[in-house]
Amino acid sequence: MDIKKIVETPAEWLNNTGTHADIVISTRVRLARNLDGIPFTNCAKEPEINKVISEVKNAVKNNPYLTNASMLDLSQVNNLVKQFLVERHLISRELAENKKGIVFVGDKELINIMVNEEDHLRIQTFSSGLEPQRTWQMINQVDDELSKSLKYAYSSNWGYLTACPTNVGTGMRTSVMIHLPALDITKQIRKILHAISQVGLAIRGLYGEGTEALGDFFQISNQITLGRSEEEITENIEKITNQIIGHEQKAREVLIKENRIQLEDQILRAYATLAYARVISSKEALELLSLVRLGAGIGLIKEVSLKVINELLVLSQPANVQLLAGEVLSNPARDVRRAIIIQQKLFREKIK
Amino acid sequence: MFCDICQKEEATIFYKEMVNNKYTEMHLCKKCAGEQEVKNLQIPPAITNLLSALAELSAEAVPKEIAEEKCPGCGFTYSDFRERGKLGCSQCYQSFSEPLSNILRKIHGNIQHSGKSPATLPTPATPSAVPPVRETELSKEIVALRQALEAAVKKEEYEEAAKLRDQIKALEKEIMN
Repeated sequence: MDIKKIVETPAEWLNNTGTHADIVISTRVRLARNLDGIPFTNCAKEPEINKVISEVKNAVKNNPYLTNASMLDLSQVNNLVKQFLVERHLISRELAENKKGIVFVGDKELINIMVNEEDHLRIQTFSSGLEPQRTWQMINQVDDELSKSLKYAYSSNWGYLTACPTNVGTGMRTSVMIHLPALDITKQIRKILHAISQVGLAIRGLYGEGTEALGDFFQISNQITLGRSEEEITENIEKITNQIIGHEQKAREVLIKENRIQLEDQILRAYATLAYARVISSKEALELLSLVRLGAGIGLIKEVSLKVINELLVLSQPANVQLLAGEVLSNPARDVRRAIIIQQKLFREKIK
Repeated sequence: MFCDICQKEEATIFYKEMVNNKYTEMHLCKKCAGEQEVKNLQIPPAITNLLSALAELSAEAVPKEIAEEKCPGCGFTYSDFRERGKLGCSQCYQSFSEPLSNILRKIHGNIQHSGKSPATLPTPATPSAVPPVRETELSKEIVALRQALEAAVKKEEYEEAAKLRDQIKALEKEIMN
């Protein structure tokens, strides 16, 4: 795999082309699958783990949706590259720690397959904006193709069998990455998030399980995988996300109507800091980008596109900064380099 | 009334949380109520559910012969699963079907899959791919028995439940063979 190429071209799902892309950055669907007759990864011995790799390799080769996919053996890369891939949402933290992990990355980073994560296969598809239907259909086709050459562990009672019973059944998790700054400013965010957890959905930070919600970016995903069909899961996520979008839109309208100057002041100060500061930490970058993203969403900042802001959310992460710089940097040096990267990207876009 | 968490401030908020049809109720002061919601945010509920389901079940104490019985597929015991939160192989679902179904019900509110099946598996839609009659009859019987088992467990009729469990096991063996 050409890491350098991935470093320089952010994923297509950051493009801001999907439905409600001003509020929903992306939709991701993942399916957990295991091969029949081979113990789950946590229990498998080396020959079995190698067997999984060779069978998946073969299945990917025959898959028309993965013809341009490149393979990366994680035992061959250093920790910085692994962290970079986690920041790009191409691998999970769990896979990064696994000695025998492999990832296949499809064209434009819209499809990928992790091998020997908690489950033998973790297939993922991504779209820009709120697109649960389309993203599900995409992964369903990839999965159908794969199951022509792989024999999955499946039972008619429990569905697709997974290492952790929280995933059994459909093995499906649909997550929506959503940006809710106005609900935060108007102090409604806790109420909304609490309501979400009551309807059986999970809320996480930007980087999934156990991560903090920074800059008002959240991931909302289904928890129940058994007893509901993929279509039901898809519809449910879509319906609830649409309701949350409605609340965020209303909060934005209220802010503009009743607090315009203060709102604009806050957004433009954030923009000024991003544009002119010399030292920016990754936490500060996310918080400032969140405000600037709101500014672009409500039409206050016209010269920076939502696409550029989305890409900066990823490019300003620690390992991304270092790989873009082409060297390992200490913490303070990284914060200086981050400011340069952000400003290059903002102003290059401006000139266009 | 004082706050259930800090025991210092006046409780002004009645906090009620529902996870999988189970309520937790607390009387909280303003400050603790805020923190409570923050906590809810940071812990991924899927894991919380599994952990709480496991914790509840360990309090329930699974009989030793079930806890120590080994899965023929991988050698995992039910105790291993409790420790790690992960199963060893796909056969574990069969081997530990009884205690697992309690956990599955707690996590998902359900124990029967209703989504897609692998493309390579025969689907009932195509006549040539229908499984042998005897087998479908058996699986229907198993479904009925499972429902009866659930009802028996709910009514705490454990002798009846044990009988039903043995019948299910016998039928499942027949299908496997």
